[in-house]
Amino acid sequence: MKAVLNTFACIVLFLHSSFCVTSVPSKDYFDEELLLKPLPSGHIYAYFQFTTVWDVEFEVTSFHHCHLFPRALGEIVGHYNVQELHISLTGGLWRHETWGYPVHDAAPGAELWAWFKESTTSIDKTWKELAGALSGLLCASLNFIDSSNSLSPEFTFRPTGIVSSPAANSSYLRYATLPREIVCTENLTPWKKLLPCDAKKGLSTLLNAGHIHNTNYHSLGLHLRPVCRDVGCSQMSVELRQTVSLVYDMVILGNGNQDWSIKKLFGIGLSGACPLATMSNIYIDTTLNETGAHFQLSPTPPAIITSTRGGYESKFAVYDVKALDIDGMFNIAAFYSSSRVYGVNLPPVLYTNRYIIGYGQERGGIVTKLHNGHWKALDVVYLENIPWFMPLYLHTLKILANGQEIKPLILMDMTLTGQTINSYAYDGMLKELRKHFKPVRPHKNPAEMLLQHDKATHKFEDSGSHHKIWVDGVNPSTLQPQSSTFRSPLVSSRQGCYMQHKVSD
Amino acid sequence: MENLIYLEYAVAGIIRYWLLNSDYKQTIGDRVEISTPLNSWRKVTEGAYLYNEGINPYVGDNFHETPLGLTVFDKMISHIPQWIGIIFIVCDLVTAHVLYHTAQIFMSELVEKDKYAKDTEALLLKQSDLVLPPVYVASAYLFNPYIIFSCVGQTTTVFANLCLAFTFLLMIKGHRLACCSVLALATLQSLYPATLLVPASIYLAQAERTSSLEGRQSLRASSFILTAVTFIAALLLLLYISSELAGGWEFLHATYGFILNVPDLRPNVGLFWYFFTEMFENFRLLFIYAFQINAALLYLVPLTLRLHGEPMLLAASLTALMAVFKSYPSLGDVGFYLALLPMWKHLFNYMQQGFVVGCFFLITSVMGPIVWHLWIYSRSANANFYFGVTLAFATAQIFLVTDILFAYIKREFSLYHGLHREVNGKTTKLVLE
Amino acid sequence: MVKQPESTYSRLGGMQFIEGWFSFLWWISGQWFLLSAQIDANRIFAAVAYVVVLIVIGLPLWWKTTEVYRVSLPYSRIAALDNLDVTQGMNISISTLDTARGDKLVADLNDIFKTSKWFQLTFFALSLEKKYLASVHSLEDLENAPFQPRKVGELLLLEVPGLARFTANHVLVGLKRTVYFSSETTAVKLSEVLESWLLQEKSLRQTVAAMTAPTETDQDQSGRRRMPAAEEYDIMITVVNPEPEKLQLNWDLPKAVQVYLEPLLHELSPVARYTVKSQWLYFVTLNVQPKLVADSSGYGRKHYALAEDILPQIITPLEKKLASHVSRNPCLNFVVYVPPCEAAPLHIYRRQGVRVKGGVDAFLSPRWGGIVIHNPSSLICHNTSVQPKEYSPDTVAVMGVFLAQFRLLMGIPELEEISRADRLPLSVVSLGDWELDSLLRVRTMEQLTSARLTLQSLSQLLSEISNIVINDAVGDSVYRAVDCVERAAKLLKIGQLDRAFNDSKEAFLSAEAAFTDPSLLALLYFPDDQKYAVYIPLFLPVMIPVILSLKNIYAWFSGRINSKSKLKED
Repeated sequence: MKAVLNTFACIVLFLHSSFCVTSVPSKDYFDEELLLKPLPSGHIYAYFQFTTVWDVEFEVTSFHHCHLFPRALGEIVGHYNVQELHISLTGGLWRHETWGYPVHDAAPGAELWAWFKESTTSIDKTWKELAGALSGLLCASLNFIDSSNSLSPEFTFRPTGIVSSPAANSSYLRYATLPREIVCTENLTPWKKLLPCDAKKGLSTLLNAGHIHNTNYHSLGLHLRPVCRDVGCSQMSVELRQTVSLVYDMVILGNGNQDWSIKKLFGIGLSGACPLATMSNIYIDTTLNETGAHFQLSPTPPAIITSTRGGYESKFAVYDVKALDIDGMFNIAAFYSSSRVYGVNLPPVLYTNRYIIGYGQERGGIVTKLHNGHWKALDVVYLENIPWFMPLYLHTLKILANGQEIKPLILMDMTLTGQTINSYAYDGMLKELRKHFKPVRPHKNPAEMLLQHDKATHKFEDSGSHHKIWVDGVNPSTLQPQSSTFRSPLVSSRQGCYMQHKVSD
Repeated sequence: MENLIYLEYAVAGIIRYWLLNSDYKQTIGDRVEISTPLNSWRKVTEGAYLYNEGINPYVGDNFHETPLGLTVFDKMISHIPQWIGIIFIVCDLVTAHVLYHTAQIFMSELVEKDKYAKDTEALLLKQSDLVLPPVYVASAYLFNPYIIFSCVGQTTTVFANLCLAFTFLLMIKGHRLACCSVLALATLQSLYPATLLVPASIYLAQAERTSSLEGRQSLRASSFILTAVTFIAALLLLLYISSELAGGWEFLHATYGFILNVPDLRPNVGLFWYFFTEMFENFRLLFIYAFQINAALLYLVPLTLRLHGEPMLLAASLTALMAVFKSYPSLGDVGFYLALLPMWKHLFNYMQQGFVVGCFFLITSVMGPIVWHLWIYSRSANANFYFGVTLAFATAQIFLVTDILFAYIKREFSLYHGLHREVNGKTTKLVLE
Repeated sequence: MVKQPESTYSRLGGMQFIEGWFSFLWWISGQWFLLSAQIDANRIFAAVAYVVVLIVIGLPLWWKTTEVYRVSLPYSRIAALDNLDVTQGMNISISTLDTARGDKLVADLNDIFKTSKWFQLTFFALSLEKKYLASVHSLEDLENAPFQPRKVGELLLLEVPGLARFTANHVLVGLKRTVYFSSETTAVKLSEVLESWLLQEKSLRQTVAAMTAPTETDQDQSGRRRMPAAEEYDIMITVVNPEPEKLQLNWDLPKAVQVYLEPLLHELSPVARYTVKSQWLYFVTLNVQPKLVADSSGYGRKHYALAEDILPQIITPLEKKLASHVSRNPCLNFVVYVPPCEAAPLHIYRRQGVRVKGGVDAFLSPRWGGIVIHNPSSLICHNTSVQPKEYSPDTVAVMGVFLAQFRLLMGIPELEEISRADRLPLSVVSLGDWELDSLLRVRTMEQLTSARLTLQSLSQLLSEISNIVINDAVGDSVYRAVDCVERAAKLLKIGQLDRAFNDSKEAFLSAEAAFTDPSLLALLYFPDDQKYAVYIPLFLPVMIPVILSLKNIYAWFSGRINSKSKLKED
C-alpha cells in the first residue's frame, strides 16, 4: 500500500503541473415527448419519443466515449460499421383503416433493418453478428436472423439519414423480420436501460410493463441515423430515437367510463421531467374535440398549438413538464361531457389487408388487398418476404384492379438459397392503381393480389415451426403526390412524401 | 384386329378428353401420387414464367426440367396454350401404338426357339397365341387408370413414357443410332433409363448377329462398345445443347442434382421421402448412396447375367425396378411397365401370387388418397400411415416382378427338362435354392 | 408436416419396424436370382456380382461416409511438455571501480543464485569507462548515459562512488535497467534487492504452482489481483452521478483519458493492446446506506462513512451497466462516484475504524477494477444559491488513483520494504523498464503454463473420446501452440525475453482457440446405440443371403478347381 501511495504521490506531483480540463466534450441533447391522441373508434393512441442527438461524427472511435448516448448501443453501432439502424418489437396489428397512420409504422414481431457504411466488407457476416449482438442487448431472439431470411430490397427502402451520394446502393442494406417474436417485459426493461434517465425520472417512469403490454398494439422502436447538425449541413450528428407506440382500447379499459387520464393509462402519474432532458413535453391531440365527442382537459393546457399539414388542421394541447411546478404526482385527465360518440371513420390514403386462403397442409394462397383512398392513381412498391417452407408459384400471381388484371412494372425476384432453403422476396412496382375518391360511397373495390403456394415438408432436425404458417409482414410503400386543396390527409410541401406502412396477416 | 385397335384409341382419347375438360382435371393433376416435383405441369408453368421474366428458373427449388424441355414447353405454353391437352392425349395414343408394334414384333420373336424336350408341345406358343397379346398391351396402356390420370394431370411422365416406348421399339427393331438417341433423350430427362442401355445393347448385338452372314453363335463385343459409344455421344450432345440453351451448366444441379440428392421431401409413392425426413443429417450421404445404388445398380448385373438371353424381359424388369425404387416415382411410371406385362401372357399360368398382388394394388390405390386426406386435411393421421400404404404398394410391385420372373424360370425349366419330372422314378417338386 | 414422435426412442421403434419391412422387401427381391437353373456359372456369377456390390462397394462406402473427421495431433510432443525446461536465462553485468571487488561480487552473487530453480543467472563483470562516472552531477545524468542496457531482460549493477550525495540508501533502483549501489553495499543486500524486487522469483513460483496444482497452492497477493492473461484489454471509465438535478459535473472525460492514461498504455503496449472507453451513468445509487458521523469539519458538521466490509456491495448495481455486447476481452472497470452535496463527504473507513489515509477514498477489486469516491469540494456545497450546483472534478486526483490501481491490476508488483534500499521516483514516465521486464517474465511463465495445461487436457480429451471432430483449424491451432511453447522455452533459456513473451502469448491464444472451438462438439453426443439401431435393421437382412451364398460360391469355385486339377491329373 505504501508503495502505491508513493507511486500515486509521484504521479500527482508530476501531473499537477499539467492543465486542468474543465470543458465538456461533444455536446449531446436529450428530449422526451409524449403524444396522446384519442381516435374516432374509441381507442387512444399514445406515442412516446425519446430523442438523443449527439454532435459527433459517425466514426468507430466516437462511440468509445459516451455521455447521454447509451454506451452499449454505441459500441455495437461502432463495431459493426452501421450507418443507420432501425429495430422494432411489436405486438398486435395496427388497423390502418380505423386508426389512420401511426408516427412510426412497424410490422408485428421483430423487424430489423440496417444500412451499413460503404467501407464495410463481408456484409452478410457483419449482419449476422449485428443481429446476434442486438439480440443480447434487447433480450429478443434476433439471433435467428441470418442470410436465409434477410433481404436487400432495391426499391422499398431509402436511407432516412444523411447519405454521401443520392444513389443509395441497396447492397449495403439488410432487412429481416421475425413475425413470431413476442414483445414483453423482458424486452422493455433493457430498452428502458438505454435511456439516459433509465426508468427513474421523466416520461419513462410511465412505461410500466403491466400497463404497456395490456394494449391492443404495443411497439418498441429504436431508430438511429446521422442527421445534419445545422442548416448548412456542414457537420454530422448522431440521432437516436427510442419510440413506444401504444393503442389502448378505452371501451375495455374504461369499464364503461369514457374519461381517461395518464394515471389510468399508465398506472402512475408523472413526478417530474428528466433532469437531463432539454425538452420534456406532453401533447394531446384535441382535433376531435370539435368534431367528435367533446372532452375537457384538466388541468387546462398552458398552450394550444395548431398545426396545418396539407390543408388539414390539427390542434394540440401542449404541457411543458419542465416548466410545471409539480408537487407530488402530475396527472392529465380528460372528462367527457356527452355520451360516447363514434366518429366518422375516414380511412387513410392507402391501407392494406392480407389473408391466407385454402385449407389443409398441402397448398394455399395469400391474398393482399390494397385500398386506395386518394382521388388519384398511386404507384405502389410492394415488398414481401416468404419463408422457405412455402414455395411460391409466381405464375399464379394475379393482380386485379377494378376488375381488370394489371401487370407489375418491374418484378424483381430475389431468391436466397441455402440448400433446400429459399425464400422469395419481390419488390414490384405496380403502376396505375386507378381509384376514384368518393367520400359517400362506403365500399370501394380494392385491388387484389393473389399468390398461390405449397407447403413444404420439414425435416426432423428443423426447428418445429411447421404447425402454423407465419408469414412476414408486407410493405406497400407509395410516393404520395403533392397535396392539393382538397381535403386529403397527407403532408408535404415537397413533390412527394415517401410513406410506407407495414401489414401482416 | 386393326379396327379394334383404332376403336380402342378412339375410346381412350374420348375418355381422356372428357376428363381433361371436366372439373376433375385440377384435382387429378394436383394429386401427389400423380405429379411429383419432377413431372408436375405446375412447376413447368412456373419455370416458363420465370424464364420469360428474365429470372433464371434453375436458381431456387421450383423447376427441374431440362433446358430442352424448358424451351419446348415454353413455346407450347406461349403459342398454343389451348392445344396442350390435345398434345398430351396424342402423345399417349402414340405411346400406345408404339407399344402395340413392339409387342407384335416381340411376339413374332418368341416363336422361333431352340429344341425343347419331347413332351412340351403343350407349352409352346402357337401362331394363334401371337395375335392377342399386342392388343392386350395397347389396351393395358390405354385403359390403365394410372396412365389416364397421368395424362389428364398433364405430367411430363407422358413424354418420358413416349421416349421409353420408342426406345423399346427401336431396340427390338435393331436401329442403333435411333435407339441410342431416344434412350439418351429419356436419360436426359430422368437419369435412371440409362440402365436400359444394357438390354438395348444386347438386342442390338443380337440384331447384328442375325443380320450378319456368317451366322456366328456368340455376340460380338464390338457391337456392345459401339452401342455404348453411340449412347454416350448422343447424351453428351444433348447435354451440350442443353447447356447452350440454359447459358451455363447450373441446370445440372437443378435436374440431376435434384434427382440424386433428393432435397425435396414432399411425399410421393416412392420410398425415399420418409427415410430422408427421419434420418440424422450426418448420415445423409450414406443413405443417398445406399438408396441410389439400390435403385440403379444393384440389380443390373445379376439380372443381366441371368436374363441375357431374354433382353426384353430384362428391360421390362429394369423398368419395373426403376419405377419402384427411383427417387421421385409416380403412377405414370408404374402404369408403363404394367402395360408391358401382357407380352408374357403365356407366363400367367405359372404365376402364383396374382390374386394377392391384385388385391394389394386395389387396396393401396384406394387407401392412399384416403389416408392422405386424413393426414393432410383432417390432421388426424400422420406420415406413418401414408408411408405404410406406399410401402405396401411397393411390396406389391416387387411381388409382381418376382412372380413374373419365377414364372419365366419355371417355364424354362419345364421346357428344357420336360413336363414330367421324375428322378429315379419318384415324383419331384421344383425347389428354389 | 411430418408429425414428430414423442421421443427419439419411439421414433426409432417405428423406424425400425419400417426398416425391417423394407429390408424384408430387399431380401425378397434379392432372392429370386438364387434359383436353380441350367446355367450354373451364370447363377454363381450373379451371386458374385451381388456380393461385390454390397461388400466391396458398400462397406467402404459406409465406412467413408460415416467416419468422423479427425486430424492427427502431436500427442507425444504434448505429453513431453511436462518435462519442458522453463528456466529463464539472464545476463547481469556488474560494474565496479575496483575490479577485485567486482570479481568478488560476481562470485558471491553466482554462489547465492546457483540454487535458483527458475532463473539461470550469469553474473559477469563489466568495466565501464571512468569518464562516465566522473562527470556525474545527478542521477538523471546516469539514467541518460549510453551504457544503460537496452535489451529487454538485462540488468546492470553499477557501483556509484559517492551515492550518499544523492540518497541515504545503499541501493537505489533506477528507472531503466540499472541498480545503483554504494561502495559499502554487500552482495547479500544486492541479492535481496534483486530477488525481491527485480526477479520476483517467489511470485513466479507461486503463480506456476497455483496453476498446476490449484487445490494445493494459492496465488500470492499480486497474482490474485492481476487480470488474467489476454491479448487485448478493455478499460472502461465510468462516472456515476446519482443525482444530476442537484449536482452537475463538467468534465471532459475523453480528454482526461487521453492525457493521463495514454502514456502508460503506450508503455505497456508490448504486453497487450488496450481499448479505452468511457461512459456516464446517472441515477445509479450505491444501494448501501452509509452511516452518519458527526464531526467538526465537513459540510455541515457531519460526514458519511462507508465501512470496508460493505464495499463489495457497491459493485453489484453497477455491474448491470458495465457489460459489453461486442467485446470478449477482459475489462478493467474504473468508476468515479460523485455523491451530491447532501450525501457528501463520503469516506471509507477501514476495519479498524480508521479512515483511509492520504485523503483518497478509493478501493480496488481484484481482477475487476477500482472505484474512487470523489466528494465535491466544500466551496461548491456551501454555495446554496445556485441549483443545480456545478462542479468540475479534480482530474489529477482521480486519474492518479486510477493509474495506481491500473498498475496493480496489470500485475506490476508492489515492492516490499528493504532497509537501505529504494527506487528512483517516477517523474516523466509511469513505468520503469525493469518493472516491465518483470511483468513480462511473470506473464510469460503464466502463459506458458496455461498453454501447456490446456494442450495436455485437450489431448487427453481427444484421445479418450473418439467422437470429437478435429477439423483442420483446430489441428493447426494445436500444432502452432505446441511449436510456440517449445520455441518460447528455448528463447527464455537464452534470455530473449521479448520474443519469448510473444511466443508464449501466441501459444496461449492458440491453445485457448483450439480448446474452445465449437466445432469439436459437432458429433459429441451422438450415442452409439442410435447408429447401430439405424444400420442393423437396414442392412443386416440384406447381408444374410449374401453371406449364405458365399458358401455356395466357394463350393462352386473349389469344385471347378478340383475338376480342373482332376483333368490335369488325368
